[in-house]
Amino acid sequence: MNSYLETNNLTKRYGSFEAVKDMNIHINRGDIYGLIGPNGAGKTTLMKMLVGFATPSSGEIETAEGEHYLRKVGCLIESPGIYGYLNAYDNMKLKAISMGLYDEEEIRSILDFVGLSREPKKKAGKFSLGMKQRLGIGMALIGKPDFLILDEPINGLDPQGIIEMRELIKALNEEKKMTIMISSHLLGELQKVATVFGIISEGKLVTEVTADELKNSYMDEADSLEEFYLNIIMKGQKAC
Amino acid sequence: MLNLIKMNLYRFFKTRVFYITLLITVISFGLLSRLETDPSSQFDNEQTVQEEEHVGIVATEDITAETSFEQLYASLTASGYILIMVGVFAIVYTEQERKSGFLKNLLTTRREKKNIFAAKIPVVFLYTLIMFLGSLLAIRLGSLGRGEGMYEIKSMGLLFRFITDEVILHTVFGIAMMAIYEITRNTIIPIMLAIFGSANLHGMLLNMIESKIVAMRPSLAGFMEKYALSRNLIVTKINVLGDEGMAFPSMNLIVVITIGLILYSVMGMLIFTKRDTI
Repeated sequence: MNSYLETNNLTKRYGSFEAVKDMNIHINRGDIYGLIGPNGAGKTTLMKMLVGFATPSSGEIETAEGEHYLRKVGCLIESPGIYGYLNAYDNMKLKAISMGLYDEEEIRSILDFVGLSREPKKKAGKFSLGMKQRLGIGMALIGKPDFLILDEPINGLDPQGIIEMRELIKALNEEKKMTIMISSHLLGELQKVATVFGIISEGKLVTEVTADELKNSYMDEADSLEEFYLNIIMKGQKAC
Repeated sequence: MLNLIKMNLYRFFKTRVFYITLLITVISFGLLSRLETDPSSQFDNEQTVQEEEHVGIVATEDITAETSFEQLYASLTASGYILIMVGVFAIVYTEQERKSGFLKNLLTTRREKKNIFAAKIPVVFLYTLIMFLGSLLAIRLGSLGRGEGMYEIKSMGLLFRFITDEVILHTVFGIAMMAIYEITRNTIIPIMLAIFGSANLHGMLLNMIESKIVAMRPSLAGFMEKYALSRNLIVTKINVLGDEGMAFPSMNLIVVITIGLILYSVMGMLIFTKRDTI
């Protein structure tokens, strides 16, 4: 396979409801894959299946890493998984111990990287939303993952927080050479970081387009990712 | 698995609930033991009536000047108080992992989901052990200075065996509560069940059904006397250990513990593995 990760007819059913239907996505190594879709389109369900939180009803996930790829995946899905009564260091230490990778220096360096080294004693429950999100990403970085899955990491952040998160994502991709999948409703923001876009609607992949293709081929029809997305979604709805 | 256990132990000692419940337990048992061993309150009919009407932690046996420390300890700890604490702790500890979302961190890096459930069992065991040792210390201190030879430890071996049996039985109860939490994924229902269970209401209900069965088929009386389910529940065994002091048929206890341990652990691990975790 040429891609870092591909899904083959991936499907998730909850009773008679199909949250994800025959999804075939392709992510290359080094991509920042922007996953776009309306609420309830199946973005989070797809991400949950990719990280092993949910078992696919049918279909497959194929990766260049083989069956052990989950060991190299970090994620921030829905909300950061942190204990509010512990500080940032202890939260990270817990995850590191569980992976058998506890290294104080490594944790300090990640905390520094995500900009949380200045408040070592503050309990995570007292963090701002932006700090919690950054801690969530910090937790995902333990074990040096190759692939990072971020579900709406900029949701609820203030403008400063959004800029910090954007810089962090770029740094992870460029400096740490990570492949990243990111979902967001803030399309303007997503356009600033993503290299590929996957648009999904009603559990189905509508289209996959690279940032270059979008710029070269589609920008005649649409001025922005937002407009392109709306055109695609509306076309899909009319076809239905 | 070992890493998950280490992680859980680190988290356990950072959990405030553990220290709070331990402190409350030590203070409660210290005071209770002081009151129960007070010579002025013993053989007092009025006091006895008050105790019978009292709802809460009381000694399950009459405490007299001849009572040994082992009997005093067994009588006080079999009151169901530690059982509720262990049940509620197991539920809250498991719930914290899911509610905080930390569980997601554990799931991304390993395929063996059952280990995540199993790795919490040593924590429940450790919590139970510390609660029993804390209450041992409190009851010992509370019963000191009551007169020469009173409330002495007569057999260290029996005391050790009692603590071992009770700690394991309580741990199995905690595992059952963890499994029930995984089934319901709700805090209120398992906590209610822990409270009802620690009062052995399910045992009483079963006993009533068994009595009806024996009344309808008297030929089953002998069988029921030996093998009735209500006599072989974890909570029944905990109560019987306290009531009957140290004398207890060990083989029966080992069978009940083994079945309970396997049943609840496997049930919890299976549910945890089969269901979507988030």
